[in-house]
Amino acid sequence: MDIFFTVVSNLFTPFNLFLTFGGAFFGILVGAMPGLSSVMGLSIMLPFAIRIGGVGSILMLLGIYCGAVYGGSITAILINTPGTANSAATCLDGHPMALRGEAGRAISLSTTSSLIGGLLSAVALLFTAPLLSKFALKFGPTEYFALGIFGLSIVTSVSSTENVLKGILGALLGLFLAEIGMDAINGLPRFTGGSVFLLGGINFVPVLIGLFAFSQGLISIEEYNKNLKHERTSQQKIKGVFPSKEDMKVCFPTYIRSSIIGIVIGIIPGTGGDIASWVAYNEAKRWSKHPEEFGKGTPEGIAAPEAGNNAVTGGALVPLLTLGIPGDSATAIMLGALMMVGITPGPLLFVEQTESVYTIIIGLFLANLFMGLIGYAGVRLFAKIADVPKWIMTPIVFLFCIVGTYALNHTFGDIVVMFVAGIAGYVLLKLGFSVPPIILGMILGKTIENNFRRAYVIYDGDFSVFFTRPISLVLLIIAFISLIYPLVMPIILKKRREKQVKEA
Amino acid sequence: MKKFDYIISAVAFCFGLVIFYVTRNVEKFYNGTPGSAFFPRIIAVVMFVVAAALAVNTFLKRSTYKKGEVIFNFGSVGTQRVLWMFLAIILAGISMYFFGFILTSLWFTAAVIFIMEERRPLVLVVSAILLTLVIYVIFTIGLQMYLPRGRII
Repeated sequence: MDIFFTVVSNLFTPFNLFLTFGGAFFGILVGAMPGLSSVMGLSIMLPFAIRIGGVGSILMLLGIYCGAVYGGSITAILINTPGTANSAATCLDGHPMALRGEAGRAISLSTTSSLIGGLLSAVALLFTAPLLSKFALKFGPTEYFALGIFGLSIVTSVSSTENVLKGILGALLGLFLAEIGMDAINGLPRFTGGSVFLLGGINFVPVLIGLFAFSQGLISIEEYNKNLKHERTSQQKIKGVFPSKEDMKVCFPTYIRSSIIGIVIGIIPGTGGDIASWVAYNEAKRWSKHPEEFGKGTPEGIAAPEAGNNAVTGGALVPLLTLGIPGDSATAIMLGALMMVGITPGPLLFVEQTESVYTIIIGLFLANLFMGLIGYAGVRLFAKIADVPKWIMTPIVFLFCIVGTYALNHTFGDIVVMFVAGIAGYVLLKLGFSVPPIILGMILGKTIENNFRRAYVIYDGDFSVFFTRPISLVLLIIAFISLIYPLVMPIILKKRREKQVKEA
Repeated sequence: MKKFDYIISAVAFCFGLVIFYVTRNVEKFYNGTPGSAFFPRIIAVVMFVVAAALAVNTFLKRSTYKKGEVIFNFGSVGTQRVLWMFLAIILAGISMYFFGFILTSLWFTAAVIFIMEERRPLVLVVSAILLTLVIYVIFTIGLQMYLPRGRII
């Protein structure tokens, strides 16, 4: 009970409430603006969060995360353009409902679903995370090494669906970047080329801002079409921002089912809100008594993807807080933020920093409540966001990237790193690379290497220990399968097809 | 566009070689434990393997690129805009080093908007001034943060 009161007193300070509220507000703005994603919003605000420090900074990031996932639905409904990839499925029924003149109803359904999904995921986080962390307390250096490899390979294989080999190369690049600087074990400089700036290593935050936000700005410029006009319903007067009793009754089973789907998908590293929303949508259609109404503006078609994608937020925090493995790109940024403010995610977090971790978990409830509150109250304002021209938003993104990068250490070198990462990120994205493995490689690089070296010392140079300890073995096997599966499966399928053709 | 996959494979291979070359004088083992060069060399070895696999995979026509897909179309308006942005970024870096954030932000904002085909002079000037002012007010006055300062200004 003591911990409860401590957490509440930590959380309910005016400053922390302001940060959570501000984060949720900013998140919805970012989410509602097509072309800006939750990851971009988090990347831009990361340096400011780090400057703020403490649990408050994490609460702000949680607010942005929850807000941005929900915010994407507003433009999905009003202009048939999802603000983020998470809300792509919401377009299917949200926009047809808006075209019928029921934009307010559609947004109210989306807000309520997001709120319920988010809150249920926070409940799941509250009860599952401590259990998982107790199990993870048995981990030693071999398990941590295997866990790092596991997280990296899962994210690589899931995020690099087009070519897993490029995903692995990206992860290796990230691991290499983590090697630059002073060797933590024997203090020797590596790959610094005599540069004093590089002696402390390359900070991953400027790289992250460059890869996630700056490069996306460049892609926005490339894809910008001055003459593109959306099919607008945003001028439509939005009435009835609260859901009706009938809608609540119809959608209730969908809220629960989709939230569970979102939580489970969120827990699996490498997945994300976009996958959850499509799975939830398909399941809602499959379970519906009127599947033929899907795609024509049915309430369940909005409730399912929105509850699903917001439920991912709590689910993705489970592996992050208990194992230190991020569930998606957004939680990879959170992992960086947590480490930078002195909160080290992992099983020991629940033992050593109990107050901080429960403040974060309860903070997720608060972030979702603020998200719902702002969503209901400010829907008319956010509907106007889509009208802001892209030529205004894009330079703002660039300026925030520069200021945010500089805010971190007040060094010009960080800005140069961010510029280089931004240009490199653009080229890599064009070449079919995916960004999350690079960042995750950078973040997990030191953990993987140091635990590998520790295990080597503890077990007298016996490499077989990684394969004889059960948890380590299981994690390494899953990691191996996750990387091999996308390579081998097409060959097996092709051979099977050829055999079928021959038989026919 | 399979040639890009071959180029990526070759670059990754060379990158692995560079890691080996740079770590040639660094300890591989230190007091019987893995030294500073040990893990980078593991990365290099895996890089060789993956680079070779990518080349073989591409050769076996399992390239990620669709037939006829153009990755970098230097003739397209979009790519040209990005190339102009690259130039603007380099100049912004130099300008920020000497003249600081405020002056750089004024012309850089106008340049980005200009590249995005908004050519009305009044819009360019007003947007550049307003955005820079907003950033200054939020960060310097509101959040008490420093903006990058230049060597000269």
